[in-house]
Amino acid sequence: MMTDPDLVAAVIPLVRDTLGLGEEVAISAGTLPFYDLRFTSMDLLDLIFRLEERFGVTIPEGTLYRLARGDLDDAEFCAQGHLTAQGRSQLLALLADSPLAIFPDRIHAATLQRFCTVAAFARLVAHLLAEAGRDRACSS
Amino acid sequence: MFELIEAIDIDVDAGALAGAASGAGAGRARGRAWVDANHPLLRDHFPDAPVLPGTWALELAAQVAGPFVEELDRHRDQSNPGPDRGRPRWAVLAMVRSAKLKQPLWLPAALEIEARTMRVDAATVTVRVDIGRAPLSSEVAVTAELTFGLVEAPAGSSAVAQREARLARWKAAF
Repeated sequence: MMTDPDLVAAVIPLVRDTLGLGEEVAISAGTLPFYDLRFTSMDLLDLIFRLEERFGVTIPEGTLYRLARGDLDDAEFCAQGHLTAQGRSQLLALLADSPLAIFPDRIHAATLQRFCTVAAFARLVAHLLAEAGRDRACSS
Repeated sequence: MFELIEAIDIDVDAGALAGAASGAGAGRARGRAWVDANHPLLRDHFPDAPVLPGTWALELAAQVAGPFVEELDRHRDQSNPGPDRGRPRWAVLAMVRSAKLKQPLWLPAALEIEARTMRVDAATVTVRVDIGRAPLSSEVAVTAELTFGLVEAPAGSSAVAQREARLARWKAAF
C-alpha cells in the first residue's frame, strides 16, 4: 500500500512532465500548480490524463466537486454557480493544506481545481484507488 | 487546406456517450484525403522526395476530428436540460497532447483518417486520431491525441455557411 508521501512523490514527476519543467524547478507537496506553476485548464486536463495512465484510475469531470460536496445535496453546496457558505467550508476542509488567502469569499463551482496543491491531487488519486478497492504499489 | 479532405463519415454512439464515465468509445469518424506530390507548398519538403509534413497530418486530423466532436456535442445537447440548450458550439483545437510520426507518408497518397473519443467533458473533448495510407488497417503512420475546446458558434456569417456546405459535401461523398 502506497503511503501518502509515496503518492506525492509519484505525482510530482507527472506535474513536472505536464509543463516540461526541469529538476531545477522546485515542486513539492505544497506547490499550487495553478498559482505557483501557472497551470492552465489544458495543463490540468493533461495532468489528469497522466494521473489516469500512471495509476490506472478514471477521473471523470466533477470528481473534485463531488468530493468537496460530500454528503451535502447540490442546493446546500452550490447556489447559482457559486459555493454556499457551507460549501466553502467543506472545500476549505478538503483542501486544508492550501493557503487560506487564495480562497476568495465567492468561489465559482467550476474553479475548485485552482485551489489544489500537488498533495491534493495525490489525495484525489488515493481516494479513487481506495474506491476501486485496489492496492497498487509504486512502480518505477 | 480544406481541399485535401475528400469525404467524411461520422458515427456517434449515443448510448456510449451517455453511459461511459469518460466518454471513451462514444463514436468514430472516418475521413479520406488525397495529397498530391505536386502540391506547390511541398516543393521544398523535399525536392524530388515529397513527404507529408507532420503539421499537415495534424491539420488533416483536426479537420476530421473537429466535425466529429461537434456532432458528439449536438447529440449530448439533446439531453441538456439547461438554458443553453440548442446553442451550437464549434470545436476549436486546443491541445495536441501527443503526436507520433511513426513512418513517413510519401506522396502522392490516398489517406484514411480515423478519430475515436478518449474523453468527453463538458467543455472539452479529447480524441485519438490515426492516419495512414488507405486502407488504414494496413499500417498507421501517424497517431495523435487532440483536445478540442467547445466554444459558442458564431451565427449568420458567410464563413459559417461555407463551412456547413463543405461538411455536407464531405459527408455526401463518403
